[in-house]
Amino acid sequence: MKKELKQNIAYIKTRLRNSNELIVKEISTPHSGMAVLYMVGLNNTEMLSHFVIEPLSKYTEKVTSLTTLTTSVITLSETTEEGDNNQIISAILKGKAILLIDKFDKAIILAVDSFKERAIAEPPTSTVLKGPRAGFVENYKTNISILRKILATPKLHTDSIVVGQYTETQISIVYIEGIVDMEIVDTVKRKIEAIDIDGILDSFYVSSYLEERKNSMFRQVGNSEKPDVIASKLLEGRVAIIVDGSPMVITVPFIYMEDIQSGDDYYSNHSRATFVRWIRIMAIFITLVAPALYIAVVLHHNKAIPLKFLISIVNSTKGLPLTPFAEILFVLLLFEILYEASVRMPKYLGLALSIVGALILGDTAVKAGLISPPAVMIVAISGLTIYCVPEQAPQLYLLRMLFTLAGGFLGFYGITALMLFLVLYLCDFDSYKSAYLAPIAPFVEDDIKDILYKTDITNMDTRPLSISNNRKNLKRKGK
Amino acid sequence: MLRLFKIVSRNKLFYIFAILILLMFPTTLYLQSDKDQNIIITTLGIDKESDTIRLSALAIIPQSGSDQSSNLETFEGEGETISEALSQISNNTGKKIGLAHCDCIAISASAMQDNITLYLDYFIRSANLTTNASLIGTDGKASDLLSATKSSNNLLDLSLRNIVQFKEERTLLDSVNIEKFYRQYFTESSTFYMPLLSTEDSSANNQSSSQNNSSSSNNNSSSDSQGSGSSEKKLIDKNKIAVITKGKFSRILDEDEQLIYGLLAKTSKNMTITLDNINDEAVTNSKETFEQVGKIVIPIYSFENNTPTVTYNVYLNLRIDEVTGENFSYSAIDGLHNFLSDTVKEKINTLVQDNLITTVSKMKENKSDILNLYTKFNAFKHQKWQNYLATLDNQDDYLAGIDIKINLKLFNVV
Amino acid sequence: MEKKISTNQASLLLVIFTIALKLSVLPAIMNDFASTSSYISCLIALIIDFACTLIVIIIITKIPQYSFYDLVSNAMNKWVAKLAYILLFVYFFVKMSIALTEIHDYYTSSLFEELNPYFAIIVLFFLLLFMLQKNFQTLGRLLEVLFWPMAIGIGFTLIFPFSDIEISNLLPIFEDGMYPVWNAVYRTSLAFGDFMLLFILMGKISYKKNSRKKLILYVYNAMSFIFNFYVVFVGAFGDTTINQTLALGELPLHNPHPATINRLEWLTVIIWTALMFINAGILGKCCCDCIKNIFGLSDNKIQSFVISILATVIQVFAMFRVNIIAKIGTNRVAAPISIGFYIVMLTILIICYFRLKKPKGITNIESQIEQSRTNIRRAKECSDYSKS
Repeated sequence: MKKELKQNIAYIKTRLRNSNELIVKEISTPHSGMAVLYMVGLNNTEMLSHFVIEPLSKYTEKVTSLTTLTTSVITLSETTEEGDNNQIISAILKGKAILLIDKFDKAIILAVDSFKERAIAEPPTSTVLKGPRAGFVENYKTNISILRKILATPKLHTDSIVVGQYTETQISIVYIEGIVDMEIVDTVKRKIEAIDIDGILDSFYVSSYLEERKNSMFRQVGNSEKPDVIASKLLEGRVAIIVDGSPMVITVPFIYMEDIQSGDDYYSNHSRATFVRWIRIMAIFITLVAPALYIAVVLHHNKAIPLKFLISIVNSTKGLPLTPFAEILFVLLLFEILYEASVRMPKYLGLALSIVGALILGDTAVKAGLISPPAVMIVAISGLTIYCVPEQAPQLYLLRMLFTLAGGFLGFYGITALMLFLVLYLCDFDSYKSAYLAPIAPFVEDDIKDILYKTDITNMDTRPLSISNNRKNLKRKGK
Repeated sequence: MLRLFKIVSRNKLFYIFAILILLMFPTTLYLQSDKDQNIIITTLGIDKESDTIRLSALAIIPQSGSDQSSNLETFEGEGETISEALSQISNNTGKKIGLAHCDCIAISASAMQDNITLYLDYFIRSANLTTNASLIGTDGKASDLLSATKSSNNLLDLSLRNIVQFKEERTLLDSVNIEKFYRQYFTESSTFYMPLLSTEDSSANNQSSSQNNSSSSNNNSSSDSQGSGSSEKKLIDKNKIAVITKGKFSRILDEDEQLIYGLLAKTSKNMTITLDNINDEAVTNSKETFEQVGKIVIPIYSFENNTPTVTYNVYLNLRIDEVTGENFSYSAIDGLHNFLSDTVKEKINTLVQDNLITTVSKMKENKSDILNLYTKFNAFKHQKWQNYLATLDNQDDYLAGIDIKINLKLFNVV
Repeated sequence: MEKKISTNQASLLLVIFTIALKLSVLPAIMNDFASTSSYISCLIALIIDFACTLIVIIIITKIPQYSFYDLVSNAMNKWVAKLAYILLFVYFFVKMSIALTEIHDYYTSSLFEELNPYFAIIVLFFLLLFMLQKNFQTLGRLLEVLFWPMAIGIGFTLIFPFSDIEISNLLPIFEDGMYPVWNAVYRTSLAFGDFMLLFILMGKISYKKNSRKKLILYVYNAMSFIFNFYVVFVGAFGDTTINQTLALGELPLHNPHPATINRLEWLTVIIWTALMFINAGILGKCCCDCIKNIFGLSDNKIQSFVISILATVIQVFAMFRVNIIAKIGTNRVAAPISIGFYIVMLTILIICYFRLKKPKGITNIESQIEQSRTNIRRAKECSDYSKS
């Protein structure tokens, strides 16, 4: 920054390519020349007028120091003095206003940024029947404030890092001191600081950098849009990463069993929660092996089916032009197309197209003799069960296909081999000092009460041992 | 090569395996289903004509649609051995033989004249057919039996396997399947039994042969007559049970023997006992039929004065099933009236003891150890049994010296 | 440095190692030797096995920081250790071959109408290679995930045969005297000897307070299961036991509802296949460990590749000779060799353990004090003698 007001204004205009959105409001006072610069649409102009421009225009004394202005004249809650041009430009682009004063080589950054954001509402990806319905929004400050409201403790720390050459995205690392393993915090910080990218558009970008095993189809970073879920994970000793511009908050370490848990489980009867968890585990299994078992049995192991079922299958597959494997593949593909179309189609066309899709798949194709009812039923069941654990859907889609291939090619032998491959792969899958399949493998007895079955909340008096946290502070004590 | 080794060594095997599967994709795409390559056989029938084995196979022919009904078709093949006959069927149909769902094998009277292990050897070695496939006999042709089964509307209503299982539950001492046959065959007694069914032309008078005897009687005659003037067969159950000794047909059990064996069978249910000329406070000169509700049989094997003795303690719960007669009072239909009076109990005991005497004498006369006494004594009283056998001139005559008793205790279930 | 495995994982590895090879063709083989007394042979073999396992568990829990190689090297010398590992390698390799050929034989003869054996072998090669590149901790975790579903699956399918057991099939025992019983134990000795796994796991287990009891309890339960299985099997099949090539697969066929459930054995065959794959993996990993100690290799990659290729070659070889490996395992030459091997290894372990307690050349304060007391006493005796 220079001491010449006009020079500074000219410099900033040049840096911002004389953008039409840059507003330069000059304020004339008897003794000093001042100017307020801001980008239109990114800030609260009412606040700017009321708390900055109006008091300054009435200020008649000579400005001797910037501190006088910030403490006595400008009545905003947050002001900063800054001399670095890059920081000033960055502040303008982020919605702040800057006050330039003639004969001063520093500017005052005025926190009047106020981008319009959506209301805090229930996130569409995590709906619950009971429990809080608040969800995170795109503004990281709002997200942090939501967390602070839940975790009103001075031990809740937030460390900020700016990442992204063009987006300069603010990333906050949130953790509870005394509970978390500080090594993991340091690792996360180090990895985020090492991110060298032009722009971060979503938290998923950050999670890709945080994953220890690159190119694995299994996610190694948890995420949620719900503050109560993130708060509970923080209380277990995890580290949360809030990315500005993304409502999805990510957490590490992550274990597979987290996807079996749901917020609903903690807000309803524990017996029901246990039952539902087992349903989810069975659902994963059915998703993976149902089409594979069907194709294995039809192609290779007819003798395994009871006679009555065999007669049904034999009658319904008589005269089909496709081989059994081609038929299953065709139905799987149709379902994938239906799924993709239903996600992307406009709402108004949804009903009509879903009828067409159902008719095509469910009725016409069967009547035309292209596919058989058992194949449709098996793939439909498998498609439904995927969404019992929606976070695992991407992996399950792919694995389902692989299992079907293995079952079609080598029957039960192939399915068994692939299952062993998969489980072995997951057993060797550690991230952030936590075993991926904990507390099943390695078996952690104390944690089973919140995984395979859900015990009453009064019995959950220790933090989980399955993830790496501060082992000296495992008791969940209130006082 | 080195590069390949480096790739493998970098622990990406999971993906290599996935790629391998994708490479096998084209092969899998064109694989035909098992069912398209195999003919699904549900029942087999073995006939013997001079030196040739005639094999009949009842197979499922798919029908379009998704309901349970299906066409059954009989295929026949001949050969000197079972595998030759099956090959002929295979050649005739252009498909491989699928025995995985074959749950019953019918053996004709002609085949039973030979040692039936000659026919069953193929099946005991085949991994496709399970060894708990039932065995059933026929006093006519096995192919006729299969035709009679085929003529039923729905396979599931009338299945030979169902008939055998029905009899196993009601009359027979043990399951009647290939594995049990072989287990009995290799014992000293080598005695087996199987139900015998008959067939007759459905154009003949439709007589239901229900016999009012003291053992359970099941009428499985099907009176379907499809088509006029055709020689369609129907099944007739004359309640015969054939005794197979050393693999060959020996004789048919008569009613007295069936009562006793049914009584001594641990798993038999719904046995009925009918008594004539019952006089009671409620009835006069009536015929009463009692139904078995529950039964416990405890055999005790012992030696009394160096004589092997088996005592069957039978605890039988009976319930009155039917009372027929001319003179009976209101209390005859009283639900709480105890029809199992001392007189009735005595009559039942007498009936059982009389039948036992007949049964035992026939058992000893024909040397048919249906109760498998040799194995039991050898197992439970091994040393004494060996000593007993040592006293015999001919060890095959062991049955002659065995004493068989029944201690019958009757309980009424109201 | 290889990661340590927990006691739970070690126990499960031991259980699988104990159970896997005994549920297929072994009951038929034992019945062939000992007829109705075969389950008594099994009991005797299990008791001997359990006693040896107990000894080994007690020793290894007393010296948890030592691996077998370290123990023998310290107590004797490294060449003895290497020789011991060579013997261990041969033992584990033969057992692995038996496990792999059993899977292959069963699948090609029963569950598939047509299986191209080369494809099955290629899949097995990759699976084995993948498994061998993991460490024991990963295999232990694999068992922690799969063990209970497998156990429940096997238990479920064994419920039906209970109604089919006849006590008379189990009697009489010792009908032809004790010789057939001991002959069965002798000839099938290669299938037992489950304590050998502990030689490899030595020094890799992290112990807690009740680790020893837990290990012993799991082994006891596994052996009880095997004994019960043999009793049920012989009781259900009687004299036809010798015809049953896969005991675990044949038993569920005794279900009372064949029309509705049909052949339940496919479920047990899937479970058994997984069991055998895992067992082959454990055995292969033991072979890798042996090679590592023989040649002093630190990396696991070379030996896993070598073992996988050798195993594949064995499979191709055995493809054309049915049951060859099982026959090798029970022939008259294998029996004394395996028994001799067990005795030699146990002896080495016990000797090394006791030699380690009083090691040569390492100063022991107590023995020094004792030595000096002895010297003083002798000196006094000498002076007393000279005075007299």
